[in-house]
Amino acid sequence: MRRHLKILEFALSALWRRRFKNLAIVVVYGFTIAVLASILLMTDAMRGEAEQILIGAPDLVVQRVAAGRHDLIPVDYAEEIRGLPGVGEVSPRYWGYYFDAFTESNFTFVGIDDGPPYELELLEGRLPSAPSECAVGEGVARARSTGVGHELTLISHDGLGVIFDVVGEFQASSSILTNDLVVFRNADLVELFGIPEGRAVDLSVEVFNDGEVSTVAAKVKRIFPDTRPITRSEILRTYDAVFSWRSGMLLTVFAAALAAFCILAWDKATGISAEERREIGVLKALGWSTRDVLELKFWEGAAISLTSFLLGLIAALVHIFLLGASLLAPVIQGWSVLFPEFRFTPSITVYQLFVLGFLTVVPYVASTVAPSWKAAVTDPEEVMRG
Amino acid sequence: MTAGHERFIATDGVSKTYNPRRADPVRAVDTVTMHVDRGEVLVLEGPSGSGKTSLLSLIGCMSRPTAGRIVVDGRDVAKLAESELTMERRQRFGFIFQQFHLVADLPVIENVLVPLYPTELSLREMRRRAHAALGRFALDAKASRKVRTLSGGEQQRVAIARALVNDPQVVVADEPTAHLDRRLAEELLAILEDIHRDGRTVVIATHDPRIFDHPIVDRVLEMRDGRIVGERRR
Amino acid sequence: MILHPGVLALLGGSAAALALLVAACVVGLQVLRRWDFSSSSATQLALERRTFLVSSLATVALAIEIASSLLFLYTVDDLHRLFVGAMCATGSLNANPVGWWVLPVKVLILLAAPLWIALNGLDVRAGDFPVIRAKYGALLVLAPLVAADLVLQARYFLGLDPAVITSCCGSLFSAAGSGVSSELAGLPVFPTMTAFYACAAAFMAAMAACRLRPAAVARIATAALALTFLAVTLASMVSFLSLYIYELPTHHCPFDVLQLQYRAIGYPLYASLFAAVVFGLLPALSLVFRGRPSFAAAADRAERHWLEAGLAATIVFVGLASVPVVFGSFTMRGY
Repeated sequence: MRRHLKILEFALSALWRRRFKNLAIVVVYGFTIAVLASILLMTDAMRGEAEQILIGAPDLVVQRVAAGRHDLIPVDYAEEIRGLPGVGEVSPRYWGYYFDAFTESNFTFVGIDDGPPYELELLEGRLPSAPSECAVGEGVARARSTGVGHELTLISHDGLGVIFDVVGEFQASSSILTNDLVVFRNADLVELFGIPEGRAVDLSVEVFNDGEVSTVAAKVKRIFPDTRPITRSEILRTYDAVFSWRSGMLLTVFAAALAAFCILAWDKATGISAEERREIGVLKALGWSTRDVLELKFWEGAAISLTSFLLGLIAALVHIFLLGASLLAPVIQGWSVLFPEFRFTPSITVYQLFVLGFLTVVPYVASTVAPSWKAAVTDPEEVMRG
Repeated sequence: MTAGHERFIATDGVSKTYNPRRADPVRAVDTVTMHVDRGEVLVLEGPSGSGKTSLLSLIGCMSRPTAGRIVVDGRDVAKLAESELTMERRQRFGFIFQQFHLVADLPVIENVLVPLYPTELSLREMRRRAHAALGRFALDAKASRKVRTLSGGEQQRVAIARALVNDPQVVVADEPTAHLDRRLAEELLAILEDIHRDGRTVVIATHDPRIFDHPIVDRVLEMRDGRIVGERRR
Repeated sequence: MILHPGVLALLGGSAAALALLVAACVVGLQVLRRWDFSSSSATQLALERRTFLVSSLATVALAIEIASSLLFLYTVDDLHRLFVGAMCATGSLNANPVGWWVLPVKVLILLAAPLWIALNGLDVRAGDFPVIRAKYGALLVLAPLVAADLVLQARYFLGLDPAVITSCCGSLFSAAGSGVSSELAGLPVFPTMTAFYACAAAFMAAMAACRLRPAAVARIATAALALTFLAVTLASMVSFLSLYIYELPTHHCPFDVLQLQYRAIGYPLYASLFAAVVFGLLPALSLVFRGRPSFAAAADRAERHWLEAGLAATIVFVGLASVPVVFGSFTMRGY
């Protein structure tokens, strides 16, 4: 036991002696880890964010589908669905995407009457309560340089300009959903989008027993064959799959970078300097066995891995949670033009660390086994022969 | 102290061939039969290329012979596995190399500690022994200096302290005076005499007459072309 | 195909392990072909140096495999969110039944890999490589096992389709169903509990006896009891240990214990179980090679530590498993 610790000590001092040479490998190794960790942390943070939002989402959403195209749903359907056993509140929802010609970006419009559909945190002001009022997300406010007490001009379905008073602004922390969001009263939204009387975008359905959601969905489908019921867990799974896929996709792309890193690690480990080789020869001559030198190399690799891992991880945490993933965000989110400046809730799990370790340390260790052995079997007699 | 006549190391028809499968194999040691008595000072004398360094590394358990037997303290080491050979080397031998082979960037004390790392000794005990070894050569005050800042003579004494730190039975020195001026060579011989007085066996390979004419030497073996061609006893 | 980071890590890790192990086999065979320990030729010396390469390659490969077993459980448990109807690893495995075949392969590797590493350690320490042929032969058996692991994992993950609706532990490990797992779940609780504690006690007694008075009989008995203990414990896990951990009379799943809501107690449980079994098997394994004196000497030195570690691991396991049985508020009275 003691011997192992002493060899560890020697390994650390040997690394420190060659710190500038080792710095190169730590930088590259750490960078690789930072990239991979950023991808992992970011996709998981986004998934967490989406899950957080969907907690408040309705148990069941009923859309109408006409020839496979999403269509407005008659509000009367709500009455009949409410009649099903186990169903609570059924309410029509009004929402839609709006292309803003001024800023060339998409906004999400949501109509509310009795409180917000999700847990939305207001930065300042209040939710709209009177006609011609609205509350905007931070991204919208910045893009249109407006805010509480100012106005927001939008073009309605018949090409006329409509002016709204901004009475609230959403907090940045509830980012994904609120950034490009504008909230109106239902009546305003119906008028703006020109939704025909008696129609809604979809229906949100409350189901008392979570286990009954799919049964209710099946019944709705049977009564109204032209509808498509979507359960909350389905949405969650889709998010999960999408985020896992995105992160897996990116990791695959970065596999090339990982391979390059392995080659570098191999090269660094193989190309030990004449001085280092002589030093190992001296160790062998002075009574170090091949096993001892292998252990020395193992500790050196472990120390380099751990240092790089911690540095890379810290860099990734800073990048994702302090700098809002500024370097990766454009690649990974990509579904809305208005997606600047995220603020993710910092979180990291043992599983993420485990996966990250497996993705980075395993290739490093695997590519340094043979070179370490090569160094460890240096013939002690070489020292004698000069 | 005169040498006893107990055989400590004995070789029997030992050969060492380098590049045996190439067209021009080099037979550095050619069927040598010799012995080292316990407690004696033995010199292997010969010009460079005569095979004395190769014989020294065979005796010092640093390499295995191509043929023949080597017995160290009753144990045949010619066929030991590398790890066993390492144990022999660690426990019995102290080495002084021609170019010292110190790690220039390490402090003096760390250099002396190197042979003790792969043992089960505690760090405290290791340091105690290293300080004792350094103290013997008046280097204790410079223990934390980097080796590169020391003079040649001091570096030589660090190398000797390192050779003694594991309390070896045999001290093996390869051309220890090759790069030394007269004064340092004298100093080295004085140290070797001191080591010998501890009761340690000393084996030196050299072609320096200052050594093999020195009174501490018990026996000189002359080597030419990998063979022993003469023996002088004092 | 599911491109999940954990899946990539697993497939990449297993591929790396297989590559290293194949390299170890190739070098190992080269070594064996010209191996002659009595020779002191330069060739033999080079071969001896190569044994360190084989050891390093194989040890790293097997260490990766051991870690990957843990990662596999973790990942399969994590994947359940992608499947309709899945609540834990059982559901993910049901989503593509090939997954169930990965488990026995992993169990075999989890037992064989540490045994090989220990055997290799003894061989190196013995000095004259007494069991080099046996251990390189074992590598040739381990390599296909690791290959099977990689292929099965790849087939499992490639064949996963998130659209599949799967059934979870509720339907698989319920006493009312049919099949092996249901039969395990349907084992009567008290007899199984008695068997579990009796087996644990016998296993510990055998290890203690072996520690105090090493003999061939004690070693073989220890190994036999180790395997029995493993089987009985896995059955007990489904039959009654799970019930106490979940505090539900019908929840028999052996995978839910891995989840954070049960304090991930499954990881220390399974880790200590496998450690105990491996340490219990080692004395019998060394018995096979005790004909070589150098090996016997090295084994004697190590055996005490194995048995002490095995006893400690068994105590940890039985302790962890018993806490909810003894102190939990759940009782099986009436079931």
